[in-house]
Amino acid sequence: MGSGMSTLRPSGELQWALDLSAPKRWSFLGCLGPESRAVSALLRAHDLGVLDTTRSLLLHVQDVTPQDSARERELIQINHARLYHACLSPATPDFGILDAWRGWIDAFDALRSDCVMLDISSMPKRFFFLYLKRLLLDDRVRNLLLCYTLPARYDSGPLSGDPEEWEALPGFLPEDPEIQISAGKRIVVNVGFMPDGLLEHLGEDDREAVAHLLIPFPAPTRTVKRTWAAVRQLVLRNNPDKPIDHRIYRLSPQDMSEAFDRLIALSGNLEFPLSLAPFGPKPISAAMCLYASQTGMPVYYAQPKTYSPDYSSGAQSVTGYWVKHDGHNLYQLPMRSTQP
Amino acid sequence: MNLAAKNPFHEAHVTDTVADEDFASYFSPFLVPACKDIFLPGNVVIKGTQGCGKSMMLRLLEPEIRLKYFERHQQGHPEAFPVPEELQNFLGARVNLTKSGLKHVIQMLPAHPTEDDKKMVARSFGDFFNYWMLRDILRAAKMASEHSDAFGGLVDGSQLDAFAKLFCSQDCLFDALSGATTFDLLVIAINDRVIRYRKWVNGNAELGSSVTETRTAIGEPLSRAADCLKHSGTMHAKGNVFLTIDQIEAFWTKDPSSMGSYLRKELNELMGRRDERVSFRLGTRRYDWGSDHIATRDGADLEDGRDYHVIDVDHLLRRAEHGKWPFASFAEDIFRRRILSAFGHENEDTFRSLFDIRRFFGPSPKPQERIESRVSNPPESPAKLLSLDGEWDEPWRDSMLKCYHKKGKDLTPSCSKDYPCDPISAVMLMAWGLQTGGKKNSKQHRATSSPKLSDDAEPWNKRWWRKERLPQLCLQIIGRHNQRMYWWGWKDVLGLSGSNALWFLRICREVWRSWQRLSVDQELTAGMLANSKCLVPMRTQWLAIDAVSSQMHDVFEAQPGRPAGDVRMRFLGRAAGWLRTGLMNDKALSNPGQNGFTLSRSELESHPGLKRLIEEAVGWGELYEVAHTSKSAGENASDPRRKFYLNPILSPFYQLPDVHTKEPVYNAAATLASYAEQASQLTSNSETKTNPQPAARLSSQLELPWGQA
Repeated sequence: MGSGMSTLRPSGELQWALDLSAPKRWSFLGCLGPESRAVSALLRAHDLGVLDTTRSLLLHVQDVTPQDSARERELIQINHARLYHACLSPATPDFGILDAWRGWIDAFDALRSDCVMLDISSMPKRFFFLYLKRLLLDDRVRNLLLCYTLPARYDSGPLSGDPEEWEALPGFLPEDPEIQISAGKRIVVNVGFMPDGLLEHLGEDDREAVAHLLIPFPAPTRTVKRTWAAVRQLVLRNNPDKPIDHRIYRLSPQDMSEAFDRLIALSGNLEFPLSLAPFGPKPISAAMCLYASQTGMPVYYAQPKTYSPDYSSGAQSVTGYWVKHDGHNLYQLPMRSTQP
Repeated sequence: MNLAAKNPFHEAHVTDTVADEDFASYFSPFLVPACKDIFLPGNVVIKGTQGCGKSMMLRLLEPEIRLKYFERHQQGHPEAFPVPEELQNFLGARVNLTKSGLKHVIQMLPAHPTEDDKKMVARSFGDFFNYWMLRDILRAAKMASEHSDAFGGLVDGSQLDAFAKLFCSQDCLFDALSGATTFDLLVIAINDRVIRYRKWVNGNAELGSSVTETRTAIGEPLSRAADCLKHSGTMHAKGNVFLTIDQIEAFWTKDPSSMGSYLRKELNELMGRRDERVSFRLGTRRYDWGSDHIATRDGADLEDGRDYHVIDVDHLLRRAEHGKWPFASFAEDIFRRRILSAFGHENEDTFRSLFDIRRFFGPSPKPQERIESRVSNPPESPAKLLSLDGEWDEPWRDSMLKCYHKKGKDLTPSCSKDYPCDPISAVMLMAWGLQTGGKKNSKQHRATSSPKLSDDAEPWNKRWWRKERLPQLCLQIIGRHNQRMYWWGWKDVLGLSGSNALWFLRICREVWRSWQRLSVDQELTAGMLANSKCLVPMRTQWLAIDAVSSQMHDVFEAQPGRPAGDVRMRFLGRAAGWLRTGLMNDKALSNPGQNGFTLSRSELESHPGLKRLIEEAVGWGELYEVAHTSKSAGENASDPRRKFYLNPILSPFYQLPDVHTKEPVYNAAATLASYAEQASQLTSNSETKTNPQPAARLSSQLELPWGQA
């Protein structure tokens, strides 16, 4: 269970998290993909009897360059069968991974209720960042629970590829161009396995930039090794004479609350603008999203255009993170410091 | 002088991304005379490979750069602003289509857009573009007015308010800025409009009727602003306004919604207006400007020479068939400037060879030196090297042995005096024996003639016959001894740079770094430099260059694009393995030019996936492309060909010769298309990197010596 500096931000196994509040009927938004964990949260919520099944949506997000289509279809069929056995038949509209956001945002607007579960386990960042932002800032959504399921294991090969150019995620371009420039001087990276585009970006726009690297720790040895390999690549950028100016912070990969507080601290209690680069564990990325949604800071990403159908296998328990409870934003920004 | 103090090349980014204050010390004005069009009225498209130097040329239009030159010059630095004085009367403004948020306009399309939806989005795009550019024009005008000396009195600051009044009254603005009665208010109003657009593309606010009812036609307010700057007396009557558009590739013409090509047409409309009041400059990669990209709104194509001029930087720097190689002079200038910037003019006389690329890297190896450096202890028997089949008769076998053991009475060995054997002559003779004289179905020379061992033996021992085959021969001899081929010396360095400043700087940086590491604590003295043929030892160079090649592989792999660098490098890995296998197996040395392939237009058109991948690889610099005059004369006009080679900087990594000679591989489209198809599938990077798994092009495929040093 995580806690903020001044606000309790509960998170834990889904049933435990739900039991902290009065019973509710939840609308549900997630993604239907080949990963086993893609439907874990929906099935668990259904088991617990908290789901408004008429308001459930699983987006099917299609890659630009599909990998093994037959394998992917087979795995998705398995997930369909699991839903079928649970007597669940959510809407599963198709969208392309680079589709304009208006279409997929509208698709859930019609189903949204005042209690929303957002399952980010299998949802590409390009999608979940904007959904989370809009649900956070939408006053009609009074309860918002983020769901995340860790897989049993990740594939040892490349998980994704064919990245787009490094650019602001939809909805995360700073409104004032001057802030965009000043935010470029402090970049916070949630370090993951595949720093697509980031290497190129740091090689280009690194004038006076300081990179704050958030490293998931503790983590399985294999994960730690891959993450540090990415850190090394980022810091050296093929130029050992001029490593980027960087600081390293270890964060629990599941602790969204701690990550949010870390971002507040890195911003000098909102004194300094930050650029955010969410490449690592999704709970930390979600914290970045919550921070950026409320501060207007830029979030940059190089969206992969293809994912491995064997990205992960198996699923651990579903974790629920309370983001809004009864109209109260648990991730509200602190009062801005008045100290110079 | 302490070498460990600094690496003059550690900022390897050519100057397109270095800080404004460092630009002047790194910039080489070498290209300026050839790129004069940039500073003259008229639209200009400057195209070239990533890192070729096009962005650095466009940065000369930025007011900050001009100001920095002026300030440095005032402080006593010798370099003045490198634009010819008579062409300095311009104001420059720019937009980056990705960073500005203009690209995000595409996101405002609904899920199933109609033509009207697209038109509405295109109108908003045009207006957003205008206001962004206006914002930058005002910023440039303000800077020029505050630093009148630096800008040659181009802008009169006392007239800025008059300009604002005149501009705000323009009918093309539909009173959107009518409240902005002073220059400062105008800046605020324009900035507000930009912010409203950025809120809109973020999904945070609607545009509102105050914006949608006053949307401007793309380009018109910019021309009016230029007009008003002159008519208000703010800008000199002969002043020009140059507007740079960066990242035009952001609008992908093949995006499924077709909005990318819709917005490209809007931008092309700017060029097609032939409006002399403002001029546009576009920096673009090789294939992002051309027949697929130059249509205007009404479908008419822009005309080269009338609507715009093209500056092809790659073309400017490449080696002409028979002539000078401009890149060589460019590289020398860049090299000297970097050293000067690090160590100062005061050291130039004492450490002259440090400033001279030829002395720094020294001469490149002759073929025999390349071989002897890698096969330092040649075996007593040439069996492994020659691996002769049973069809060789005794005189031939005997002659090859004689060659190898330097026992040909009338034959001057092709190796150093101290080297114990002559593998070059032995392999050349074998190759000649295996050839047929270019006639299909003819017998090989070994079946029809006897070997002659003399200096004038025709033609296997003749200069030109040998010269074309030596790079392939080096590859074979070194490869058959399970060694890696290495590159060093200034000619190799220039060759591997592929006429590209960025890659040249990368090599210099790594070589300097290795040299620095090995010379740590060593004080460099003039005496140390005086007697050496090359400053950096051969072994230091070759290891550093090998490392750069591997780094560049990783750099290319991390580049974006459609498809992105990881896909392109998987393709290149397979293609390189295939080419190398072909060169290694070609014991007759009949195809020394087959370290590249040729594709005709129709071949590319019939494999669209391959075409897209190859064009993207050329644009990002992983492939090197040149026009190919086909063997068949008629084909040149009806179905022109292009030759494609791997970027030379990748030659050490893939162990392919970097020299381009004779004919490349023909009829490669089907094989390459299958590689392109395979490359779209994710595979481990290390798998692609160390084991490209080449398909067999010839029956007896040799095992590649990857990773064996």
